[in-house]
Amino acid sequence: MRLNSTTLRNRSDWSGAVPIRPEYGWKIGWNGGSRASGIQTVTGTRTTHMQASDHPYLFLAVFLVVAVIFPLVPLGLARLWARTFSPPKPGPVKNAIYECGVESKGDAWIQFKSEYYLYGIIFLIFDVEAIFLFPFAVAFTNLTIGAFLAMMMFLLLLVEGLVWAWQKGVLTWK
Amino acid sequence: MSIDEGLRSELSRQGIFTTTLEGLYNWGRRNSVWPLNFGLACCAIEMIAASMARFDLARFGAEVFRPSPRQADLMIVAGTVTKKMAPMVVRLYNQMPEPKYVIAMGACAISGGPFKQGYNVLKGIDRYIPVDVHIPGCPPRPEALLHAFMTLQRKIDAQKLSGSDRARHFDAQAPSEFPIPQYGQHDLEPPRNEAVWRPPAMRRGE
Repeated sequence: MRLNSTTLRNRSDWSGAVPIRPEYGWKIGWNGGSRASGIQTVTGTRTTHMQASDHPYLFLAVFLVVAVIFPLVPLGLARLWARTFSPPKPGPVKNAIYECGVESKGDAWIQFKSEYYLYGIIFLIFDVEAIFLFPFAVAFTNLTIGAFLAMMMFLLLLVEGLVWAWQKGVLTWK
Repeated sequence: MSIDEGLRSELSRQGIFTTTLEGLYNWGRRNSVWPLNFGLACCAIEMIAASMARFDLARFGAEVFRPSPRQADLMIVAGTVTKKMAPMVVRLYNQMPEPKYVIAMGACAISGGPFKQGYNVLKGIDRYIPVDVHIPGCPPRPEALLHAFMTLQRKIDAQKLSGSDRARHFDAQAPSEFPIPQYGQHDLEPPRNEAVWRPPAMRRGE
């Protein structure tokens, strides 16, 4: 069936799937099924040709080779160009860690105050709690008493954590 | 350069475009210069104006202002370089990868400008780093910066890939980093990089 504007406009033609012409099938079928044998019947002369169905993972090997070669060629060309025309010139200033012009002092691996970590984790807990509170508030009027009690228990556990953190003095910044 | 100019123009008249590796390389370089996102004083405002829609530095392929020197090709020294700031400018220049170019924009960057007599003002950034294009003006208008940029493009176009007069970044022996001045008791130490800049010699009786 040829698809043209007339057949496309006729909706009854859309009910059946458009037949795939067998010569458009993949030469290397991934399951070596009907499509590979479709080639066989159409061409008719390829009986001695290696069948893709004999090596179902052949296309993986082909893809792998292409995937390795495809990035390696431009990388190799760039390397060759750099070696010939653009000699690298590293130096202590050029390789310095910081890049705003000011000389860096000391080590980048320093200990950070742990207070912020506690703040962050408490914020995270109540941030997540808020996500549960919104649907709870929306569905509040037609909740069962069991669901209400479960939610209150959830809130109580978090508030208990907050009270604990408060008493430990986590909320006062030192 | 193996093809002579007459043959080339004859070929181009027939619709055949010929080029050289050098020409192709320089064409690519000059049309994708990434300036360093770095301003020092009022000239930087004009630099920003030049990069915006009205003056549109993007027409020349230089709209990508990079906040890191490691990704930049061009340093536009836009404004007064104080002696306090000079080491930072030189350090940023050193951290830029080759090939790198410098435009000294405005009277201050090329000579100290109206603040030349100030105790704290460097009298031109070309005392420490090699400057490719100087623009006078206080501040120069964006058109002047565009002109400087086109001048730089012509300079890049003329760079040689090989030979003794090849561009600096092709030469493995040519320096890529320049000494960073230190804060001395009265002035920067050293007050200038002799390899880059020497005071103009004044000869009397001529």
